[in-house]
Amino acid sequence: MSPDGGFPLAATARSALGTAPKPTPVNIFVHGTRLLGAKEGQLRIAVAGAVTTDLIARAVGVGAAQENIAPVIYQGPFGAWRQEALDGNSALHRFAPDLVVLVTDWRDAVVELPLNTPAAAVEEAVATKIAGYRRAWDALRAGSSGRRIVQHLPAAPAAQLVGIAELRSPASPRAQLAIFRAAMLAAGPDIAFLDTEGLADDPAAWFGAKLPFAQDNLPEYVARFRSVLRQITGRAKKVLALDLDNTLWGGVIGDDGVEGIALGPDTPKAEAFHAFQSYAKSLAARGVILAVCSKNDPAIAATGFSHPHSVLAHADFPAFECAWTDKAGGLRRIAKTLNVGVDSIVFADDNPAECALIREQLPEVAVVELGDDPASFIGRLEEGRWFESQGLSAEDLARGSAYQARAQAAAAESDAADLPSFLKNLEMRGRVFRAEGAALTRIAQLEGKTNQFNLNTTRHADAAIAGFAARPDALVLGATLADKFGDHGLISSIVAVAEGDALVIDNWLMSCRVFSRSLEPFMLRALLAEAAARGLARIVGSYTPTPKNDVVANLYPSLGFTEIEQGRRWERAVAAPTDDLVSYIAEGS
Amino acid sequence: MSDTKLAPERITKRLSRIFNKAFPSVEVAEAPNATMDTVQGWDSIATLTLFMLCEEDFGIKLGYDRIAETKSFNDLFKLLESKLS
Repeated sequence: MSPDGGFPLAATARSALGTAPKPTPVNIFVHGTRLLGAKEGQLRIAVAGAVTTDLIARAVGVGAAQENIAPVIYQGPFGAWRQEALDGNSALHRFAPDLVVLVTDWRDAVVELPLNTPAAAVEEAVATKIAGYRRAWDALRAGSSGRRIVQHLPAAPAAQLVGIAELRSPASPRAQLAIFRAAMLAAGPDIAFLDTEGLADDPAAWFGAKLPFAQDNLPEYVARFRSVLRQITGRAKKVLALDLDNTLWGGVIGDDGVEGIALGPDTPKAEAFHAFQSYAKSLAARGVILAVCSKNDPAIAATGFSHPHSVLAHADFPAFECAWTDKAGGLRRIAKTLNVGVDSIVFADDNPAECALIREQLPEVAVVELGDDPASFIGRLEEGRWFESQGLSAEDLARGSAYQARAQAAAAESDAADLPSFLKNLEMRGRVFRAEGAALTRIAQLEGKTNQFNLNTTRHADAAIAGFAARPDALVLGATLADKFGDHGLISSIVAVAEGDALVIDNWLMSCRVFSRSLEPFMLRALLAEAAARGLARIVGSYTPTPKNDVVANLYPSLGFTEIEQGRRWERAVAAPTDDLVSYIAEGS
Repeated sequence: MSDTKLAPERITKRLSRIFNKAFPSVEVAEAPNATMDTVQGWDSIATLTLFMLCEEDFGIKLGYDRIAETKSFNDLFKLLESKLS
């Protein structure tokens, strides 16, 4: 969807304004005014409110155009939003909007109450007020199930009156507003809110033109509206792609080395880089996917994260693109690795030339030019409100913690003096069991997608795995693993078939997240017990090389197997002592 | 301050370009004749737009109180002239 085809007003505005988070007030006026004249477009937006909506309507139009959406805008009569919403035959309803923006402010929230009104009575008054909004929302949505509502979340009036005493009196406008905001959010899980907090009240603008905030705040309003628009039209940004040198640390890792980069408490600058890393990490905890896009040698670049004050670890980045080629290519590869669209990436870099290149080559990427003062990086990144959302889902939080668990495990790895103490530190619990039901489906999934730890790459499908599980002469084992950082779930399986005096491993696979955690000997012990129970004398394992499974070429020799066919087949006696099969995993789940 | 004072014809020239920017349908040469009645789309918000463009272009503050009484190129020209002298 691009406004270029057939929507010249939106296309003109977009090409004049680009995607910069904050167009100037003049541009909002000029292009917004033209956009109000659009008769056709991709999104019908009704702007209704208790205040002058003329400027908001222009800002909304400009914001939509910047998001590559050609708007058709309707403005309700001044102050008549409630009647317009409740009357199913109003001009607003007849306009049949896809989106309704409700421009109300504290004047439509605060009830005049005596200052000594008790808290419970204030809450009741607020609840009544909120119920009125709920009725209006429902009436607006009654027209169309797909219709979305963007409701301004009011902010407190500017007047401080008697200061702190206001905040201590629940009935004061400022105290009421705090209650009102929370109640409104709770009452509208289906409503998209646009927070007006910080859009400064301007008495002159109010008295002169009934503007809800100073016109200087219009650019900021555009940024906020665009953020909400992205959220409700499935255009939310998902990935933060970061440069390394002079972005995540001060200096050039390739020249200055780990000891030479600025990161940590030593200088104000180093502290600012540290704070920026913490900020990125906090975004990750909220479901934003981090990526590195840097011109560097990958091995040297990664050493930056071993700096003692690095908040971020290499494992925090599900995509890590370091190459000397141009960064547009890097961003395309990141999108591919993460299986997301290029337009869901926000790219942040200190270098204006790199930013310019991305703006030119990948205009769909949101580019944040960080500049040369690390203290302002967080502010620059927040300006566009790229990652804001109306609520965090369980998946968002899980995405964050899954990556975090990996990162912490990796950090523990670098802290530990040697492998055995690292593995002990992980406090691992594992279970090996005969797979059935859903576990069989999961194993078929692993068969399909595991490339590295996959001995024979058999690619058994669901039915085949179930077939093995049902055969008296065969068995399918699954293994789960958990450690102090998280539960990995079912991450390994063995399919084996009895042949003569041997239990022959048909295939063994393991998710790459957990290899070298001593799960291999742990599982082999369970398999030996199965063979012993069946009265079999040997376990036979085989390996079929592929371009990707090199990592397990020596698995069987490392587990005490003897070669019977060079590089391809090994055996181990079931009765042999098992002292060599050392594991740091305790039984349990 | 007399050397920084703008000559009337400079104000006219710059204001004409501003009109053309706010109302692309108004040619620069035609701008001095523009009034609220003759220019399509000239409402009070458009006046505000003109004020903002002038504030930006001339580097002055015009405020809101004269918006209602500004109904023609000439009104705005006079306002600018008074602020710039």
